[in-house]
Amino acid sequence: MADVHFLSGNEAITVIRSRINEPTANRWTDVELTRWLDRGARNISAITLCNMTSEEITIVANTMRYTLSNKYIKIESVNFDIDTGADDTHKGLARMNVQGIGQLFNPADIAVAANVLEYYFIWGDYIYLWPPPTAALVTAGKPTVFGYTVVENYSADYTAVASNLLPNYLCPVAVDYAVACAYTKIGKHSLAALNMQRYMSSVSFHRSNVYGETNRVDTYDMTKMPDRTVVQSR
Amino acid sequence: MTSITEATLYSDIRSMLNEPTPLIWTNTELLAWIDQAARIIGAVTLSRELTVDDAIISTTGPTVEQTAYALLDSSIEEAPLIDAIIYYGSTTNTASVHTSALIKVHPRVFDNVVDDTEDYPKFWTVINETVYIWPPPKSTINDHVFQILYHDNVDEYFLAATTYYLRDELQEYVIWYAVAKAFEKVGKYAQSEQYMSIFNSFISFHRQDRLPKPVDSLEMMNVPDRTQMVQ
Repeated sequence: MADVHFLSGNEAITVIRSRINEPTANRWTDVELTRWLDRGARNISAITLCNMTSEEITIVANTMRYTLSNKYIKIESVNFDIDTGADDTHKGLARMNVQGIGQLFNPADIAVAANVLEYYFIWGDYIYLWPPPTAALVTAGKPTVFGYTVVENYSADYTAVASNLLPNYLCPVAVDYAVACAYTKIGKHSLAALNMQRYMSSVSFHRSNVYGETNRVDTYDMTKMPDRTVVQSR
Repeated sequence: MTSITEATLYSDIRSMLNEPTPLIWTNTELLAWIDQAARIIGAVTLSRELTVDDAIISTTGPTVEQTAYALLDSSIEEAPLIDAIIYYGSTTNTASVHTSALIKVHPRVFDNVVDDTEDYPKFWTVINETVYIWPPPKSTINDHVFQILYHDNVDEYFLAATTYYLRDELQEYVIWYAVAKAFEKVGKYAQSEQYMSIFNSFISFHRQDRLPKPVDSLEMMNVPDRTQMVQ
């Protein structure tokens, strides 16, 4: 699919050089521009939560704290697939607030016969699962964590669009970030502010529109159709 | 994502200030601003979530009948927020039949305690760097693990040669702070404010993501009712 947003790393550098009117390196080196482009990419993924990641956790009997291999900014959900043969059980775990665990972790809970995982919370680079799994549950399946991490840089290979680490629609936003940094360097602070404002607006839109704390699903009201059974009187 | 090293930080800041080698701004100044920024980011985002086993209660676990335990770990003493205490019911942090989390209560709750029978602790509070647990521990739980979950302070940017107080995604923001302070030094106050506002905007996003939040409300997960026919 052809798209004007598709910019390889090298193409993005060319676009930045065009914006700052310096086709060949003079005041700004390619090393600087690349670093700012990479910083922009990391910042975009940190704020818009665009880099979705998941991993499976190998649970251990009677253990509730597990180290996560990825450094998540935020965890969105945890699912648990229990292999029971032909018809597996798929279950979502409920997220709870760490400060609320006092109300939940009652010694009696651990005696729950099935010990199907019910709750989770995140603390640092750990995930806590409750109730602690039984030995039988360990062999039945693995919980999967879904969350957001930060990309390492703009692209794994600056010559190839396919190696971009950001979603393509966010690539031009990283260009704005780099241009703002470039103008800061030469003391054109108004132009730096202009480009940074453009950058901030873009990441804010993407954060709230796509991955924000707004309604995750359409509300009932939103899908109501107008009542056409009542005929308007003239 | 890899961490931003000291050399890269200096290089990035100097690149934005257009001063490749120290002339107006020394590396000592830059490091001071980097550390200031790290402390502010840590305090605002509460990003440093740590756990510690046992040490909050004593070096060897709880003592029978003792309810007050001085916080032994100096970092926890000054921690801005203690969030939770988990009792493992065993001498290791493997869940046992008595694993539970203690309920955080207001210190005044202890005014109304009339029963001092030793048992498994259920409640906790903290006053003046001392943790109080209740009911008083009974003798069979000596050496059992209590795990405290707390937000720690960030003291500076570099914890050690290759380790850092700040999480990776927060590290680059110290650059904006240092640039703002650098412009302040040379009397460019409007520019300083401009870059400080960028710094503040960035860490505000992370504060929203990382601060303890209530669990998702039921309404948030409501899906449209498809059993009703559209008229």
